[in-house]
Amino acid sequence: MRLDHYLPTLKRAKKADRKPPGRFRRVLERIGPTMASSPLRRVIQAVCFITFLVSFFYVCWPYTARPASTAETPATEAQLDALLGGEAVWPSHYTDDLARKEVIPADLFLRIDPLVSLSTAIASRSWIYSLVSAGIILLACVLIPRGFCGYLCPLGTMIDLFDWLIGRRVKRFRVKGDGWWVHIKYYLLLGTLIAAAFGVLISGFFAAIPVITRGLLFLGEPLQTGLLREWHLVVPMHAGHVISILLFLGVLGLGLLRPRFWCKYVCPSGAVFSVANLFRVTERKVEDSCIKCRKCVDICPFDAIKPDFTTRTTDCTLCQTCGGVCPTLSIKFVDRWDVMSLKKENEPPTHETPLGRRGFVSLATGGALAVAGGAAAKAATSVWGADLDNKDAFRPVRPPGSVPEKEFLQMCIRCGECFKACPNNVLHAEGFEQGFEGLWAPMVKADWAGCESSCNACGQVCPTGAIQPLPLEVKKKTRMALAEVNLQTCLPHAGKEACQLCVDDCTAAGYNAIEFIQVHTKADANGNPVEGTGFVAPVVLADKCVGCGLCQTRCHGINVLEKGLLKQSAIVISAGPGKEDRRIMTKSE
Amino acid sequence: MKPTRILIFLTVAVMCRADTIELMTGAKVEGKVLENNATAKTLTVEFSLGGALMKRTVPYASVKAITVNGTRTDLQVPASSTTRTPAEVQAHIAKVGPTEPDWLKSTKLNYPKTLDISWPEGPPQGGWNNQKNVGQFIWDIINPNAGRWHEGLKLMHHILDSNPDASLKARVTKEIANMHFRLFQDYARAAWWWQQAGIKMDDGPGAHLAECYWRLGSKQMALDLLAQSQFLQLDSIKLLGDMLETDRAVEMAEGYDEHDAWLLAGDACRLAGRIEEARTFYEKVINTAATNQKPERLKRTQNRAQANLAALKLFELSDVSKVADGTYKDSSLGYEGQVEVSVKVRGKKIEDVKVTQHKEKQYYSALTDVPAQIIAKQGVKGVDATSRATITGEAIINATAKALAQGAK
Repeated sequence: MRLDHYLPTLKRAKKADRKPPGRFRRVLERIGPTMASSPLRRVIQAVCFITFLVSFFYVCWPYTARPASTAETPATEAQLDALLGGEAVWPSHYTDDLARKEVIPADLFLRIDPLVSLSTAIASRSWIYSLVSAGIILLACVLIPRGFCGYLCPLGTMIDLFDWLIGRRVKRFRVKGDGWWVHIKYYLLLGTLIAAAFGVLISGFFAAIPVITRGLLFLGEPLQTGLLREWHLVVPMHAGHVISILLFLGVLGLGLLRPRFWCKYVCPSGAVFSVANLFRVTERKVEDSCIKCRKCVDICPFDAIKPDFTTRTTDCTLCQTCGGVCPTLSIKFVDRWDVMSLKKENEPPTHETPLGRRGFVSLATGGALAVAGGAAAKAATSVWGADLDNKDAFRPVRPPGSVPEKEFLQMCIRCGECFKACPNNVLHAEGFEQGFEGLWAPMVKADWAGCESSCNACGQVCPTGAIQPLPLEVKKKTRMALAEVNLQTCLPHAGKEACQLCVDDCTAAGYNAIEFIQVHTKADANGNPVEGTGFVAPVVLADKCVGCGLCQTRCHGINVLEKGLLKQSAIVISAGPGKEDRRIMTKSE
Repeated sequence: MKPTRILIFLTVAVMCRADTIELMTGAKVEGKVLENNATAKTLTVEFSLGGALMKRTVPYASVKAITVNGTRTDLQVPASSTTRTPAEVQAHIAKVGPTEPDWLKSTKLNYPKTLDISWPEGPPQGGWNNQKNVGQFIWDIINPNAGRWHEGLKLMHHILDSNPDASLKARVTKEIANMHFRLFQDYARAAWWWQQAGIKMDDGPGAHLAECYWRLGSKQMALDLLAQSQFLQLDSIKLLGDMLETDRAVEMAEGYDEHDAWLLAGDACRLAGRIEEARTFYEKVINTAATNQKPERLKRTQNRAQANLAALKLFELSDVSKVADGTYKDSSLGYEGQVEVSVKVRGKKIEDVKVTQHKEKQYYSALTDVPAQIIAKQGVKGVDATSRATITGEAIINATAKALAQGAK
C-alpha cells in the first residue's frame, strides 16, 4: 500500500537528457519548494484555512440578516387561523440567516479539535456531542498520522503564513538543536487533563482552535465591525482581551524561534494526535537508496526526521514534503509493516537513546510540573473563582439556553464563537469578575445591547453544548434573567417625568412582559382622579419576562447616556435562582 | 388570439389577482375578498393553502386595511360614507346595544382578591389604593394596558350580575358605556348603555353620546342633542371640530373664552386645513399668562398646544415646495440617542438626505433605505420606517421633517 501524493523530483541521469520542466512544475517552483514538492498538501491546507475564515467571518457574521417582509404565507390551516386570530408573527430572520449560510457547521474546526471535546467531557463528566467528530478525526489520523496538524489545522496554516511572511526574514531569535522544550506539549496536555479531572477547564487557553478563534475574535472582529459597520459598535477592551491577544501573538511569535515551534513542541491538541500516532497504520519510510544528502531534514517543518533520516513517528504529519525533495526517490509513505529494502537504522548514529538519564530527569520534572500545574489551576479557582456557593458572589447573565452555572464553567471552552455570531454583541467576554474561573466566558451586557428575539445563534455555534442549541420556538420562552424596575429611580415611578421606553421596547419585541400602572394620580375632593395628572409607569410581569435585556439597553442608552437623567438604567436584568431556565437537555428533547 | 378571448383572459387575470389583507398585528396575508359586509363589519375571504381553498370570515376589528384590485381601504377609519336617518340609528342601537361583544364570554374574570366590588359611593376611605377601590383599579391598571381592557369590561359585567343596588347599577352602567366608547370605539353599545343610564345632554357624557350618534351615521341627531345643551361644554367644541363644523366650534370656543377651548379651536382649524388660524389659536394658548387659578391645568394645556404646534409645523410645513434652498440639519431621538439628519433642498426638490450622526446598533438598512425613500417620495409622508428598525427609521423621518420645517417660508 503506497500513499504517496508528493511530486517527485525529475530524474536526471545525464545532463544531456535534461528536459526543461513543464509549465505546471515551473509555476509550483516559483511559489516555493514546499509547494513544488507536495502541492496537494498545500492545496488542502489552503482550502481548510479559507473554509475556516469563511465560517468565522461570513457565516458567523449576523448582519447579512434582513427582517422578512410582513407578508405571510401560512402553510397550514392552523397557521392561518393563528394569524387571523391576531397572534403576532414571531420574527426569525437571524435564525434563518444563520441556517441559510451554515452549509457546514460553523464550529466544524472546534468540533474536530480533540482536546476541546475531550477536556470538556472530562471536566463536566458528561457526554459532549462533539466527541463524535473528534473521534472521527482521531480515527482518520490513525491513517494519516498527525494529518490534522499538517493539513487541516487553521492555526498551523496561519503559523506557516507567519513564517513565510515574517519568520524566515528574522533570524536573530532562531534557536539551534533540541532543548528542554521538545516535550512541553505532552506535559501541557497532561496538565490540562489533570485540571479537567479536577473540574477546571483550562484547555481553552492552549488548545489549537480556541487559540485562533479567540485571537481572530479579539483582533479581527473589531476590524470587521468597524470597517463594515461603524466604529462606535466596537466593544471596548478590558484586561481579559489583552491577555488573550498577547497569548495569540505569543503563539505566532514562537515561530521566530523555529518554524512551527508552537505546533511541534507546545500545542497540546497536537500532543493528542502524537499519542494517537502510537496506533498509526501508515508511516514514512526510507529505502536503502538514500544518499544521506540531508535535503529531507532541512525541509521538514516538523523536525520529524532523525539524523539517520528515519522518522520520528510521533511528530511526522505525513505532509510528504520530504518525498518531493529527495533526489533518489528513497522516501515512501506506506503501511507501518512495510519492510521492503529499507535503509539501515542508526547510520549515521543519531545519539538518541530511548530514555537516557537526562531524558528520565526531564520526564520526571515535566510530569511533576504538569501535575502541579493541574492542581494549581484547581487551587486558583477555589481561591479566586466563581464562588458558586456564595449567594452574594457575582452572577453573570449567561446566553439563553446555557447549562447550569457550575456545568457551564466546566463546559465553556472560551472559543468566542458565540460572541462572533451574536447580533449587536449582546455577549461580552467576561473579565475577572468571577476571578480566574470565568475568564473569556460569554456574559450578557444589557447596557450594551439586548438579546434579539429572532436569534438563536449562540447555541447553534457552541461546540461543547455549554449553550444548548435551542430551536427558536424554545429559545423565545427560555428565561435567561429577570428584569426588575428600580422604583426609586424609574422616572415615572419617582414622579419625575413621563417615560415608557422599556414598555414600548418589550411590546415591540413581542414579549409583552412589561405593562403599565398609573402612578402619582391626583384626586379631587370627591376622590375622583384628575385627568392628566400622574404618569403611567412600568411593571414587569415575571411570568412573561425572559430577561432579554432590551428594556435595559433602551433605558441605559437614552436615560443614562443620551439625556443624563439617571446614573444607571432604572430597569436591570439579573440572573439567579428562580430567574433563569438553565438545565442540560435530555436526549429525548 | 381573438379580442374577445383577450378580454376574457384579462378579466380572469384581474379576478385571480390576490387581494391583500393587512391584519392589526402588522402581518399581511393574500387571499380573495369574497364579501365585504359593512353592516356586520366582517370580511369573507378565500385563502389558498397549497392549492386548497379555505373560506374564513374575519371581523373588521382584526383587520387594519384591505387592498382589493389595487385600491387600499383602511377599515379602522370609520367609514364616513355610512349615513343613516335618526330612526335607523335608533334601530341599530336597539339591535346591537343589548348584545355582548363576542369576545366577552371567553374573557377570563381577573381582578385582585382584595378588590372591594361593592364599590361604595363617594370618595374612597384610606387614601389611594388600586388593589381595593374599583375606580382606582380601573384607572391605574385597566386603562393604561390595552391587554387588560377586555378584563375590565368583564369585571363591570360581573358586578352588574351580582345584584347591585340602584346607585351601584347606575354607576356600573355608565362605566360600561364609557368603556365601549373610550376603549373599544363601539358606538352602538356605548350609546345603548348611556341611554339605559338615562344620560341627557348636560350630564357628564352628553357630548360623547352625541358623538356616538354622529359616528353611527347621523350628524343631524348629534347636532340636535348638542343644541339641547344649556351651557358651553369643552367636549361639544371638540365634537363640532371633528364633525368639520369648524365655524361653530370656533364660535363656541370664543364664547367659552379660556385656554382649553382655544386649544380645541386650534385643533378644529387644523383638521379643516385652516393652518394659519390654528397657529394663531395655539400661540394664544401658549402666550396665556398664568393666574392663581389652576396653574397646573394651564401648564398642561400649554404643553399640548406646544406639541400640536410643533406637529403642525412638521406635517403641514415640511412640504418641500414651500422650503427655501439650503441645507438643513436637525435630529430626533432614535434607539440609542439622537439621530442627526442633513437635508439638502434646491429648486423645491429634496436633493439629498443623509444621516450625519447616530449611535444606533440595530439598524439594518434603515440608514440608507429611509433617506432613499424620502428622496423618492420628495417628502416624509407615506415613508415606511424599515421593519424591525422602526425606531431608527422614524427618527430619520422626524428629523427630516423638522429640518425641512426650519426652511419653511
